Amino acid sequence: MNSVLAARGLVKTYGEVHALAGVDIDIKAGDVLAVVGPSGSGKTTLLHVLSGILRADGGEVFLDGRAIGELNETGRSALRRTAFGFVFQSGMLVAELTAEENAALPMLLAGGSREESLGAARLWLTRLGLQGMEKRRPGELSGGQAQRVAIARALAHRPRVIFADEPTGALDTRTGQEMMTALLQAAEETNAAVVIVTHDKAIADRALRVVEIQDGRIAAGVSA
Amino acid sequence: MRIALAVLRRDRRSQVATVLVALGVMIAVSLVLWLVAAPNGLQARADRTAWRDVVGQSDKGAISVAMNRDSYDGKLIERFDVARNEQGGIKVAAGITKFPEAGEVLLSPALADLVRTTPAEKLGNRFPGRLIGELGPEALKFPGELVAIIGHDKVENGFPAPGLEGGSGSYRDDYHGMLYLLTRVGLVVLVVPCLVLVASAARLTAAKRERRLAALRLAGASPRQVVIMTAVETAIGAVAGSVLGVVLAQPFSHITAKVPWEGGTWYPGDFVPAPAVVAAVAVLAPVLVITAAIMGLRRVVNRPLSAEEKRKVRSWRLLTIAGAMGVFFLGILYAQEAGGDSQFTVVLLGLGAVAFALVLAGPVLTAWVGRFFVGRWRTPSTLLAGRRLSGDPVAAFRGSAGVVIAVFTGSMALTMLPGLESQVPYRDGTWNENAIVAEQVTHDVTPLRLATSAPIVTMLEGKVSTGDKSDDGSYVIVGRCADVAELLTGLTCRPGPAVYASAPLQGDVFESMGPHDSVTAKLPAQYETRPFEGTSRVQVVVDADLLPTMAGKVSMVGVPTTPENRDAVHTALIGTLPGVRLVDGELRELWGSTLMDDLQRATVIGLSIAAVLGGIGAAVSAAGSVIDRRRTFGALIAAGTPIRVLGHALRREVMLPVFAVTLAACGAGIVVGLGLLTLARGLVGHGEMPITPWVVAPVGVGLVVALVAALACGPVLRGISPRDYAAE
Repeated sequence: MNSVLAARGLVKTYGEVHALAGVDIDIKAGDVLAVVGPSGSGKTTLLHVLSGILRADGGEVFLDGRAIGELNETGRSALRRTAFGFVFQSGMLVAELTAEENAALPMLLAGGSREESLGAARLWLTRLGLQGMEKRRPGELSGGQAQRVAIARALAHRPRVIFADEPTGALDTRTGQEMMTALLQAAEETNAAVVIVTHDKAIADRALRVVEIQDGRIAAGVSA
Repeated sequence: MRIALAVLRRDRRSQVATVLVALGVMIAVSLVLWLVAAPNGLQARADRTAWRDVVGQSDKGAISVAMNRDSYDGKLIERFDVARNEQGGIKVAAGITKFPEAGEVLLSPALADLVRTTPAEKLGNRFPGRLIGELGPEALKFPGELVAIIGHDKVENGFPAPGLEGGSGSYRDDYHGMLYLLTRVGLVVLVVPCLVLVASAARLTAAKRERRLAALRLAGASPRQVVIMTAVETAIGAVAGSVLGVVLAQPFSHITAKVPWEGGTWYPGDFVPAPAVVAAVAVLAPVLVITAAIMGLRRVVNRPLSAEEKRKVRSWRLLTIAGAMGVFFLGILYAQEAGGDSQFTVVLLGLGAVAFALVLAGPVLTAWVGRFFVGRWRTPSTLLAGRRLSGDPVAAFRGSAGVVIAVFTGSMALTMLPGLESQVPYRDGTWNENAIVAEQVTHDVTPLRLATSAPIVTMLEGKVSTGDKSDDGSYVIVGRCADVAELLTGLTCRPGPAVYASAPLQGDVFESMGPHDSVTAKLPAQYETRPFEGTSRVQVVVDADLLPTMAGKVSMVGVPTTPENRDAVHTALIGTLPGVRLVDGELRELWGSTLMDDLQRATVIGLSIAAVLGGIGAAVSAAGSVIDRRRTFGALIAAGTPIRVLGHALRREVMLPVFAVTLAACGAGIVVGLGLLTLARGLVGHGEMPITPWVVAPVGVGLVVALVAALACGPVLRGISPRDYAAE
C-alpha cells in the first residue's frame, strides 16, 4: 500500500443516524480529493474521522500504514499539528495575532523557535502573494487574503495531508477560484495530499478525484 | 421582543448567561442592601441607647448620673449610678420600667443572670439594692449587653441630666464615627466588584449577541428594535436577580446580626434597610444592568459592520488616577474643616473616584503589559496572551477589575489598621497590672476598708507650681511612697521623705486637684529629689510626709490585688465608692481589644467579600472570553493545539494584567489609606501612621485569587470540541 492516508470500513453513528456507514478510501501523496454530497450526507464527518478529530466507531484510518485509531487524544493532537494541515471556512485565524504569527502558529506549537517559525511563515506568505501584509491582523485582511494566510498556516510546517473544510464557503466565486489555485499550487510544491470538503461543483472540479457521499456511503468515485 | 424570547428559549449559552446575570445581580443587590443597612444597625443601637447620651448636657437636671464602664470575667459592664435631685416624675426611655430610687436596681437580663450565678462578693455587691426589674431590649445596645442602673440618695461625681429619656441617638462621633466611615468605605469599594461581576455575567455571550444583532441590523432591524431586543434579553435575568437579591437580603441580615460589634451581636431587626431604599436598589440594579447592556450596543446600533472591531484605549485614562487622587485629597482637606455628613460624602466621592479611575486606567496598563510580552515572547502561550492583552485590553482587563479593587481595598485596610490600632485606648502602663485605681474619690473610704482586707492606698492629686497664675505647674501625686510604689509602674522608694521626679520641681506651691474643693500647701524649703522616670500620666510623686497638712485628704484610692481577690476588690471599690471612675488595666485592655477585634473582623469580612466577588467576576469573565472565542479555540484544537497550551495562554491573559494593575492599585490603596487615616486621626485626636510591609500582601492574594479564577477556564476549555470551529 503506497497510500499516504487510507480508510477501511469507517463507521460513525450519532444515535440512530449513520453519518458514516462503511467508507473505504485511499489517498496518495500529491493527490487532490474532493468530497461532495448534500448537507448532512456525512462529508464533514468523514473529514473529521480521517484527520483524527473524531474517533471512528468502526473501521480504521491509516497514516503511512500506521493505524491512528490506536492513538490517544494527545497523540492524535500531535499528529494533527505535525502531519496534517487545516484550512477552515472563513480562515478561522486567531483575531489577535498578525498574519505571520497565525501562519507560524503550528510550528511554534510543535516546538519551533520564534525566528525559525516566523521565517518559514513569511516565506509562505510571500509565495502566496501576501508580501507586505505580514503584520496585518485578520480583521485588516480581505476574505481571500485571510484564506491565503490560512493556507500558509496549513502548509508552513510541511504536512503530509491538508484538510480543507468548505474553504471557499465564505468567498465569492472568483476569489474562491484564486484561493483554490493558491492551495493546489502550494500543495503541489510540497507534494502534500489535499482533501477538500465542498458542495461547490466548480471547486470540486479542480480536484484530481471526486467522491460523492450519500447517507454515509460513497455513492460515486470519479477519477479525474 | 419575540425574537429575544425565542433566542432565550433555544440558545443554551444565552440561557447560561441569563442565569449568571441573575446570580450576579442577586449577589450585588443583597450585598448593597446589606451594606446600606449597616449604618441602620449602628443607628438602631444609637437610638436604643440615646437615654445614655442625655447625661452631662446641661448644668441642672432632675437627676444626677455617674456613668462608668466596668468588667467581669472578660465582659464589659455599662454602669449607671443615678440619684434624684428633685421630686416629681422622671422620664425614662422605652425598655426602662421605672426610674430606680435609692436602694433600687435595674439590671439587663444577661447581667441579672450573671449576678444570680456568681458569688455576691465577686459581682452582685457592685450593685447594692433591691432588683426592681430588668431592662428591656429597647434600652440595650445588643442582646446580652451587661447594663446596670443603680439608684442612690446622692451620687458623688454625678452629672446632671433631665432624666433617662430616649430619643434619636448619634453614632457618628468618636470611634463610632470611624466605624461609620469604614462602613461607607466598604459600600464604595464593594460596589465596584459587584458591578464587575454583573458586567462580566452580562458580557458572557456578548460577542455572539453583537454578531446576531449586527446581522439583524443588516437585515433591516431598526436601532430601536435592536435596543428593545437587548433590553428584554438582559431584563429577564436582571429583574429575576434583583427580586432574588431582595429576598436573599432577609436571611443575610440574620446572619449579619450574629457578627459581634462593640462587644455584642445585633438584634435581627437592626439590619433592615428602609423600604424606600430597598425599592430604590431593587429598581436601580436592573436598570443599571440594562443600561450597561444597551450602552454596549452603541457600535452595533450605529455601525452594524463594526461588530468585530476592537476598542482602542487612550493613555489619557492614566491621568484619571492623578485626577481622582487630587479629588480625594481635596475631599480629605475639606472633611478636616467641615463637619456633619458632608465631610464623609465628599471623602467617599473621592474614594469612589479613585476606584473608578483604577478601573478606567487598568486597560492602558494591560495594553502596555501586552506590548511588552509581544516584543519578548518565546512560547506560543505568551504570544497568544500578549496579543490578546495588547489587542483588546478593555476585554482582557474587564474580568480583573474586581480583583484589582479588592487589592486596592486590602492595601488601604492594611495601611489603616496599624494606625487605627495606635488610636485604640489600650492600657497605658501607668499603673501596675495587678492594681485597680479609683479616681475622682470624694467618699469616706472607711466602708471600703471594712469591705476588703486588701491594702488600701490613698493618694491626692495636685500640681506644684510657683504660685503664679500663668504657671500651669507639674501634675503630681501625693502619697506614701512605699504604698504608691505598689501601684505605680517604675517607682522605687528609699527611706525618708522625698520628691520622685526626673528633674527638680519648679516652684513649691502645691494645689490639690480633683472633684472636691482645692486646698493649697507649701513644700519644705529643702527636700531631696530622687530619680523617677515617670509614666505617660504620672511624672512626679511627692511623699506625703513632705505635705503633712494634706494628711487624710484623698482624691484617688488604689488597691494592689492578687488574681484570687481581684473581682472581690473590684466589687468592694465599686460598691462602696459609687460613681468613681476605675482605672483598671484589664478593663482598658478589654475595651481596646474589643474595638480592634471589631475593626479586624470588619476588615476580614469586607476583604473576603471583595476577594470572592473579584474572583467570581474574574472567573465568569475568563469563562466568557473562552465562550466568545469558542470557534477559534475549536479550530486551534482541531489543528492540533494542545489544550494545555491554550490553558497556559488563558491563565496568562488573566494573570498578567492583574499583576500589573494590582501593583498600581496597591500603591493607590496605601496613599488613600494614609489619607483616610489622617481623617480618622482627626476624629479621635491622636494616633500614629505606621506602614508595615504587609501592605503589599494583597498583591499576592490578588494573584492567587486571579489564578484560581483563571483555572475556571479549564473546564470551559475542555468542553470545547475540535468540531466547534464549524458551530454557530
